[in-house]
Amino acid sequence: MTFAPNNTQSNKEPLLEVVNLKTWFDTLAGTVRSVDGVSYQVYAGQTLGIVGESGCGKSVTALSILRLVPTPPARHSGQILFHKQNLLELPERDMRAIRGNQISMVFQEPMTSLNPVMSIGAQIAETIRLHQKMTQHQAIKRSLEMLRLVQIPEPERRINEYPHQLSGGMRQRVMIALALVCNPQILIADEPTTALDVTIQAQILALIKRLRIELGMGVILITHDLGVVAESCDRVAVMYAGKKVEEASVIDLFDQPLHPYTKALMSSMPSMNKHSKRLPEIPGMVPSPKELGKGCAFFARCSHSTLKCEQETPLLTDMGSDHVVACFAVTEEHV
Amino acid sequence: MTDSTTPLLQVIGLTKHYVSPRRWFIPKQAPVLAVDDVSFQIDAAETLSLVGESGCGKTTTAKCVMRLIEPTSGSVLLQGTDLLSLDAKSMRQKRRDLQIIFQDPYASLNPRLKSSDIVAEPLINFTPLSRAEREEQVQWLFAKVGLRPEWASRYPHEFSGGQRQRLGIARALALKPKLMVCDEPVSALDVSVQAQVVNLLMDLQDEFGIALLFVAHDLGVVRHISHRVAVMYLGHIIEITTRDNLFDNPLHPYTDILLSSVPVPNPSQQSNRRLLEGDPPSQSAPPSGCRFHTRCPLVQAICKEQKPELSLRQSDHWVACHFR
Amino acid sequence: MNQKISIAADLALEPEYRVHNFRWLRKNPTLAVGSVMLIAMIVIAVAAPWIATHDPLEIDPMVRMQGPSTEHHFGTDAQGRDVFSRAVWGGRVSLTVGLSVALLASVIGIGLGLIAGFFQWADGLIMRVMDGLMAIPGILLAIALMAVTRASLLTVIVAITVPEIPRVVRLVRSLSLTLREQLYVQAAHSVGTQLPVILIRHVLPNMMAPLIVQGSFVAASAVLIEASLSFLGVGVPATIPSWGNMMAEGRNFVAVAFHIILYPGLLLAFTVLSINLIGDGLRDALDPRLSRQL
Repeated sequence: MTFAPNNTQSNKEPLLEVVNLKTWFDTLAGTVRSVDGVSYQVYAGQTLGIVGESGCGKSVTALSILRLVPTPPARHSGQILFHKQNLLELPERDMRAIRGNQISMVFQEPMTSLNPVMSIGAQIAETIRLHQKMTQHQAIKRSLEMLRLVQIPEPERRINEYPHQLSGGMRQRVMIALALVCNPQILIADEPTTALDVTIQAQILALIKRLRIELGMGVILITHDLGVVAESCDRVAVMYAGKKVEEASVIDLFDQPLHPYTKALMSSMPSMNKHSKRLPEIPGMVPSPKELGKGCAFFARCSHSTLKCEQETPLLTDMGSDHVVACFAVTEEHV
Repeated sequence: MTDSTTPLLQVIGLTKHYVSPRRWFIPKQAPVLAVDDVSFQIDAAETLSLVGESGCGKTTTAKCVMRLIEPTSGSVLLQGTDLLSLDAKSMRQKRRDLQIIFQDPYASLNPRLKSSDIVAEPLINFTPLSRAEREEQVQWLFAKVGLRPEWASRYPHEFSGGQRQRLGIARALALKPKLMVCDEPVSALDVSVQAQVVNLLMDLQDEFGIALLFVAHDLGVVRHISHRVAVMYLGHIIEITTRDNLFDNPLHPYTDILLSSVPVPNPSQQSNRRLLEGDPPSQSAPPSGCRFHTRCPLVQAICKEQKPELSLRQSDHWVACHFR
Repeated sequence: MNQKISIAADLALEPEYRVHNFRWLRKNPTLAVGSVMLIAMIVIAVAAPWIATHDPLEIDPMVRMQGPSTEHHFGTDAQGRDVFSRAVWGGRVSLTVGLSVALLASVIGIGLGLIAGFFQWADGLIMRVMDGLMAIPGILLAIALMAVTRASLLTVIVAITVPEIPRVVRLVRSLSLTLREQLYVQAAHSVGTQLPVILIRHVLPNMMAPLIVQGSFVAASAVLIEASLSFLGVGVPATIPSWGNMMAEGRNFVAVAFHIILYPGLLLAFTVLSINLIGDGLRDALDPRLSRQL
């Protein structure tokens, strides 16, 4: 079965549009610019991958969409447009109606995301009844359907079990069931398989892909694993130090990565097919969010950097066929 | 295996069972067979990787080799001496040759000690060096693992994850051990930092001739760093061979599925992925016969009854399967 | 009480917390207020010989039961002694007892707790003895101990320490059990460090935060128990002014000379409050979760 990524988007309206989102945290040590001006769109039936290493802000972006970031230390600016409404300005009551209902999230650690003292059937039923009018009996029936949807074997028996009785893969399936029970339009999956074994990871990713097609959702998949991206995503945004540095269709990105960070990331992955003696390294470390100055955040570690990179921040430039990149070395060479 | 020289490390029939404590009001429960009759060997300056998924027993095996966990039975021969037969005092002396690097760079360093004290601890324990000589050694170790010597007075929380892992490596390197057990040393690190640490370990192996027992679940890293690989499933080694043999020609069905489950970072190459059915079985009630038979695509009647032994199928390629 | 133990125990587990940073003091009013209060009390107690207006033991029947005046700031008691001076001297007793009991109980408790936590064979024995001690209400045990010895400041301290030891032992033991499994302890073992050194270098320092918090609660409790013992007449000898025995005497004259019981009572409450505030403030300040910034 050949993989045909779903890439036609220019003639469709995005389900969700993030416009110049900034999430800054005010701390004793200064302002931490976790997300510093990020924009992207999510379309129905497509998976957008957000790739980056820890601290780049990819998780905070997702949490910001659902307004799960506590706003006393954090400040948002920009817009998150969903059905023509800016989610950042919505009152909390309306946000609650959206969370779990129209936009759902699956987290990395299924054990800590599930209530250990409630059976999984009860948890799913509770979510249903929060958003839809149903009796407990009807809700339990729907829970059963959901367990079948996520391919949990023997759902009638499992529905009364507690999270600790399930394996990691099963718990993640339950999380997915919880997220999908109200037929959301958008699913945000934050490193959903990082904590799982590779064989279980393969099952879960296949499940998410299948459900996306069946339910016609838009999916945001956040990960640090380029393999996962290559397998599951249609478009990919690469983040570094709070900014988006490159975005392209998945084929374009792997075929022709433009940003030096993207290239370095790809080559430093000890993939199974490479035989080189030494793994190419990226020297240095990700700058802490407090250290960012006015130049390109990747400047210190980049092998193509020039003086301009240290002093000016590169902007995202379209290099053709919806492939954008923020890098002077690329745009100026090109021009 | 066909060498006439004694291998550096020989593990024979290593077994670790966990038995729940007996109480008169609790019915007897089956023991958890974390590690069951595991045997392998490592030559000097060689890397053997133990791979497998959670619950396969690879970490328990590594800790048993280090005698951080007391095995139920078996032997661990380091240059001919069975570590498991030693008393506490002699074992402590043997620790000079046998060091470990832990998975969690945050938890494996005492947050209250300066990094130089942490790295110097093995030197304090075993060498009669003066304080000045120790400091010199610490500086040398710092430089060897790629840390700036002036950071020696910093505390662990002032270092990043990758740097902390380097501290752990410096500590393990201090006594120039013959074998280092690496318990998933890069799993908790970012990808770009993983490369740095993996390269460091390989450099140290080349320079000091240290053998590595490398426990990992990331097959990409394993492919890079190993000379030989052993695949574990539910407490057993089900395949053990050279690195190239394993990746180019996996014989055991589980290995085959494991390798194909790894996502390929190339969108045009999303060919047939063989998915594993079902869930890992419970460790306290393992399937009869071949432990893998409940999920194996090749399962036959014999698999349920008889456990296959690890047998030599091809040159230096051992597999535990009735059909391969 | 149990809640305090479990909260205190959580503090030992987090490897990351800011060590060299005094900003938390500014952000922690509880700790700041408590510290100021306690320091004030300590200063008063230390400076007692100079602050006291009269000899605290001097009896003067001519001026008995007088209310507060310029001469006697807190009035006089049933025997004409100056309440102010007695109260100020009484502070020495309370603070000495509080501090000594906290230290002594901690030292003994750490010793027993570490043994119980690290040596399986001793665990059962020690904990059952501790359970036995805890089964007896602290004050009763202290009273019983005082009954078999001659009353003095030292015996009071010992008598109050004994019922406080089990709390510390339980905390240290449970911390030991968790710290034993910490990766850096295993790492120390793997580089050949021997057990006594592991205990001193790796385990003990990482217990200090919850132990200090626990110590403050022990101190507060000790101050109250001492006052209670003295109130009941089995505490420090009557020749030493203590808030407890001042209140015992004043008890009989509440209607006519309330000041005799009022002032020592207020000072007692003030002192215990200050210690508790410090304990709460320390707990919050040292809790890595609360103080961690993003």
